[in-house]
Amino acid sequence: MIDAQVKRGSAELAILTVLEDGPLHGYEIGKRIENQTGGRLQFTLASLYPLLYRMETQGWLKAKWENASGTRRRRYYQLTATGKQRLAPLREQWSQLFHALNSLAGVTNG
Amino acid sequence: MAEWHEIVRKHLACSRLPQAQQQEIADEIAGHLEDRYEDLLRQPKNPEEARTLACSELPRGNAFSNEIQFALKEDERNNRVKTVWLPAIGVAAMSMILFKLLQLPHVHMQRLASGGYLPLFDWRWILCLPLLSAWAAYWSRQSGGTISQRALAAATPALAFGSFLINFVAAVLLWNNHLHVKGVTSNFGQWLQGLALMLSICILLPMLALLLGALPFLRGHAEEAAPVALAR
Repeated sequence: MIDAQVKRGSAELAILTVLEDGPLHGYEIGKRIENQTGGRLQFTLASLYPLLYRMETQGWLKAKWENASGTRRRRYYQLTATGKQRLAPLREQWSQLFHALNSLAGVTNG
Repeated sequence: MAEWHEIVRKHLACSRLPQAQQQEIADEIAGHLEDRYEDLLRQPKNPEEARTLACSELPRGNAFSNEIQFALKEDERNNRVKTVWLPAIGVAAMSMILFKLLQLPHVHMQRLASGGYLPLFDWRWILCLPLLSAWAAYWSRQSGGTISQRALAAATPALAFGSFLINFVAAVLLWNNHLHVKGVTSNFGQWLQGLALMLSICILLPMLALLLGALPFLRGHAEEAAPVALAR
């Protein structure tokens, strides 16, 4: 059973990573994560938005409503300076965690 | 879109979020459902199946609105810890330690009301309280506390001390069988007088001393935390 904190940490890393390339709206964030992980990571609506709002209140993300090319208006999320600062240590922590787990399990990369 | 909006609004209706914020969340989630619905139609799914699948993303009951509310209030909760609870715990602990230190050489006890015992009211402690509350109010202000948060943090020792003593005296009285119904009704005037005296010396006077000390720091603006709003 994976702890909720671990799940939340991994979800935060996934969201910060996909937003590194530029602003995206909520649905796009979920799709991008799903596509980039080959469908292994999937966000439901119920897990995605509370997390986005939480990250916004923490100041990692900034959101604004935009009308993109004549379509209905959408709320786009983008990384703030704090979010960018948060990404590097988060990546490092997860890299260390996976490295440690791989070592423990005897899994070799490549 | 209107249909999705209505579905989402039903899910958010029980939340205690401000109306404008609910509206914006409903707009965003309805947009998400519509995107999902259109995606499902492209897969292709028939409209009814697509609608059912899109709707299934919304959890049943209040779980979704509770989760959103919890997420939006997280910042507020963290802020409250910094501006109220930490200074309050700090000043309460300091005042208790000081109270104990002042009583070390000789412990005074005073008989009150119908047989209850209460530690003697100590002027030295009361005189020190404004300094402690000033420190707590300053701490709260530096952390961005509002005026009411600073006052609450500063007044905590009186509230904590008062509630502790009320519980302590009540427990002692009950333990000694002084508070059985018959006793209370026969000595009600005396009991009430004792209670009023206890409230005065354990809560009201310390409270006044604490608020007096905090007064200089209740003025001035704190850097208020930005309200959690979904910017348009």
